[in-house]
Amino acid sequence: MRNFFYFLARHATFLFFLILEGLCLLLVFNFNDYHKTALLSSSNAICSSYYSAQDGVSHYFHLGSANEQLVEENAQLRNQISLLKQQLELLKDTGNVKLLADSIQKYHYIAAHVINSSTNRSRNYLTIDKGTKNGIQRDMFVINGSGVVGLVSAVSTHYATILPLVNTSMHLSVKLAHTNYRGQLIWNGVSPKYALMVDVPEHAAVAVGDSIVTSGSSSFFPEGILVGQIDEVNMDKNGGFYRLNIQLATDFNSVYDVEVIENKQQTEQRLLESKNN
Amino acid sequence: MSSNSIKIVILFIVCMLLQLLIFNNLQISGFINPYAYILVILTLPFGLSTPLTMVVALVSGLTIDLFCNTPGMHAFACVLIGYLRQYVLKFIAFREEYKSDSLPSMNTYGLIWYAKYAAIMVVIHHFALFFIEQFDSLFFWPTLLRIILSSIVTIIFLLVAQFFIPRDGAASID
Repeated sequence: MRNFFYFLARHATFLFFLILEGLCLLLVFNFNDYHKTALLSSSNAICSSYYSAQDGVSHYFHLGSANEQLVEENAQLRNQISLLKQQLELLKDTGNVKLLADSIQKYHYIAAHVINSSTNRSRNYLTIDKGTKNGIQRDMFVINGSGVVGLVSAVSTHYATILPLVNTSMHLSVKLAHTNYRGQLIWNGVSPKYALMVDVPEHAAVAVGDSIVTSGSSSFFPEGILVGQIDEVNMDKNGGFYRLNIQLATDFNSVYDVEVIENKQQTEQRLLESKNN
Repeated sequence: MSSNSIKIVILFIVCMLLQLLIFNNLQISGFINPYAYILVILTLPFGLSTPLTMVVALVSGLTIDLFCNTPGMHAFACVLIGYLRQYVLKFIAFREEYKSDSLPSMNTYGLIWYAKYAAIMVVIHHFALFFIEQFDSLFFWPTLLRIILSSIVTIIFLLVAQFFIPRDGAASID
């Protein structure tokens, strides 16, 4: 112990220097947006390779619940296939089937695994094991079997970080599935099971249990993907708008298998839009 | 010592005003951003203890940060040269000891000595500042070019400033 104090006394100036520099770095990384994201993005190689090693171990513990989820999703997909087959049969009779064949597949799904996630902070991020090598780019939409997960916020060669719905800086344009009234989905940082939908005008008909889906207002994202259900209907303090408590469809505590949605026509759209500027 | 403190306070105010009003608005080229305000840290008395030097450096850095909207970056670079100043001074020292009361300037040990001193300090400061500002290994070479060009301009400004600083009383006696 005494040696420790001797050490402190001998290197007091150097320690003071380290403390001051620590303070400065704290300022740098807290108040400069660029530096914050650069540091936060766990896309960086060291963290990610650690996470994927850790994931290699913990992977096996999730197999049971992952299986259940997959079986459930399979069943849903089979139902959809049978429904679509029926519709196709109907269309064949009317001769409109050529129209279908001409339409291009607009969205492409890239399956990925979540290798790191947090839900207990106000700014949560997820890391997935696919990156630019697999065709993932910034701002792509991420879903899983149950609903919306978030947006790709940073990408490296083999990994990407996702800004999930449970991040206080996430704002997603959503709508009521039945009436198409639009609103903003925000997260208040309290529980990863719930989020808030705001800006819904008070003349819209809402009821507990109504589904909330993505609005597709930003044309990069598919429309109508389930976000959650209304859990509680409140009025905004200032009046005029609802403040709906939404139970999220995705369980962010156990999210593991996700799909990143690639918009095949995004580059074409961006190119066209950039011509206007 | 008290006359020194008054001099440093005046120098501090003048340097901050010059940096914020003139040097920050100097648009020579995107690659040249002189930060001559570190003259304050260079001119602190030889005998000032390193912790106090770092505190003065921190205050100057934070003042610039406040107006440049770069929280912490200038402060980081300034504290770094505040700490390294003792070693730089030792490194370029003559055989005789520094007079702890006098302020480092061209008049104390001549232009060559001061140019060496200023060059080392400016390069360290700019290196730390520009790299923490960039914080991306992608632009290593352009950043290095910025550091070199900006350092040269800053050093020239510091040397020119020496001709405007009143002669230090203690040094002029001998």
